Amino acid sequence: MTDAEQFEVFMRNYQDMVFATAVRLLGNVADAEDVAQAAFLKAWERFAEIGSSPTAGGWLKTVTTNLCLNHLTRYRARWRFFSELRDENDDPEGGFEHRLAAESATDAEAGQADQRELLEQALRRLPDAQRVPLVLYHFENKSYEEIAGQLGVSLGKVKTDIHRGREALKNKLKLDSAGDAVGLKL
Amino acid sequence: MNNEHELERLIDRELKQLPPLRAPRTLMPRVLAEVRRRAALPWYQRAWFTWPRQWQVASAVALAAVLVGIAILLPEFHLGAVASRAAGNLAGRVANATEGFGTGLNAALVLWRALFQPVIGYVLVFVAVMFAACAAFGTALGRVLAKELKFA
Repeated sequence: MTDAEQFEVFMRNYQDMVFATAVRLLGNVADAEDVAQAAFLKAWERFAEIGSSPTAGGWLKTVTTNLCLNHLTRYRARWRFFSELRDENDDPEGGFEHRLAAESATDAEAGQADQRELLEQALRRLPDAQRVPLVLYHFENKSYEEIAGQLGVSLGKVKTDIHRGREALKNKLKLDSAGDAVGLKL
Repeated sequence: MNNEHELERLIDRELKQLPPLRAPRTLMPRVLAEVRRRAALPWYQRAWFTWPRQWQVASAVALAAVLVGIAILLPEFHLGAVASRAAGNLAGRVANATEGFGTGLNAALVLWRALFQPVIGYVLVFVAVMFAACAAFGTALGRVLAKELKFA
């Protein structure tokens, strides 16, 4: 098997994981595809070292996460992650809850669409400052301290942003009497 | 268990139940096309750490040789001479600039004393009188216009 064929197999094994990490951190499919491409090109440059390594998945995930954070820092004008002063009231679109209310008509049109897909969409619509630490915590299994260190913000801000993100997602979920989710509010 | 833990547990469970995301079909062709393009480049146009090992070693040795050569072939006194010459040039420029500034200042003072200082009092009085005249004229004009509008 040639290097190119081995790399193709490598990509088939990891492309979904890399793309999922990127799209959840960035909240945008097009940007996620760009970042995933950059991550795999880095992998190609070091394919001799990592191609058969059992830690290749972890390496790819770390590279993808770092590329996403760099992308958010560099290219998004609305990115105010590193400002301790940011408040939901600063959101020119009126805040996440307000946007969810405005989007309820669109959600209703979705009708029978998969409710999990709607939760995925709700996650992507969270402000960057809430979505990124939330994804790092729940999908990447990082601690609050690790997230604060990685993002260069205070521990308090990480906890506050994650709490706000969870509250926003909870408002989107339908809860039964026991407090368990039984679906999504349409 | 407090509310925060309940909320964390709920959201964690819901997010972990999300279906796995699939990469778009366009991703692999994009990456493989770029890989092929890069693979077609000659080795010296790629990133240094992808060069053949012998060329990496050769380039590192060459770079080290150049640095050592600079250190050996450039005698210390040359450096000292260059440095002192540069320092001398800088000091000379500063002295020239200071001297030029002093000359200009002296010329300005002489002009001030000879031409402007004797008449400055008259100029100030003239300006004050003109200001008062303009104010009086403006006030009178305003009153006249007000009367005209009142009786119109």
